[in-house]
Amino acid sequence: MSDTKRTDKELIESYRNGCLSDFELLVSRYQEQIYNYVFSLVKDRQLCDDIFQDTFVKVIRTIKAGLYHDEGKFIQFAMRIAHNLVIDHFRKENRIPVVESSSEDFNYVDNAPITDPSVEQGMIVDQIHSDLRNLVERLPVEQREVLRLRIYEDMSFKEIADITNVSINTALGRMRYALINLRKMAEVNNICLTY
Amino acid sequence: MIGNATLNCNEPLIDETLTAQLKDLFSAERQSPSKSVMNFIFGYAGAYEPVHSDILGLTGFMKN
Repeated sequence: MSDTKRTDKELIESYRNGCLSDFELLVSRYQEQIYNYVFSLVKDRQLCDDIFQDTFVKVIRTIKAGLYHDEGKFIQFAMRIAHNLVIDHFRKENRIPVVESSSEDFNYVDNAPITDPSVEQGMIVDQIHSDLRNLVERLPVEQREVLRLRIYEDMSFKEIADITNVSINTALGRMRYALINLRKMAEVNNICLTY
Repeated sequence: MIGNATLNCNEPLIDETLTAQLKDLFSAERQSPSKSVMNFIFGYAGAYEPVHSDILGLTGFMKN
């Protein structure tokens, strides 16, 4: 059977029985998704490496101890471990990022790079991305997390709720506030997010 | 309704343009784990054996 057709459950079972290469295959399926999820929250390569490594140490221990019961949700299981490690890190550092959505001390315009009105389309797109990145980074980490999981990872709110250990209503609420905050910050700072 | 839960609100609306821009943004930020981290994980995965049975054995011994 080709590797792509083998289910996560089969790979996990095989690894539990001693086949390391099947574990490597499993990791290769999801390494980017998990790594980028962590990176989107911590924004630091070294720290991201550490959390990613600790995530898989926990994954390995759980599988080998026979405590992982596959229900076709390996990625959610691994992402939930990663999520908890990120939250642990923020708690230790005592710095869960908080947005000041109505913030008057956030003067985006003062920090925004000056653009030449004659720049070409590519530069306009770059500028919009740069503006948007600044806005997204000012969201509280839990709103940024839901935004990424929903839009980029294309996860359902049920899956997001499972990963982040909250109710579906809370996940929906966080998405709603993320969008409200993005639009409000864009409006207050007169930032155009359309081409 | 999802399961037994009643949702307080529907999925917030987001226009296609903003969705596309956010996707682009997240895509542009993609990173990969370093090789040393991957080597560590695979090394750990190959070497790790749970001590579960040892603990159970020890517990049994102590009971006796």
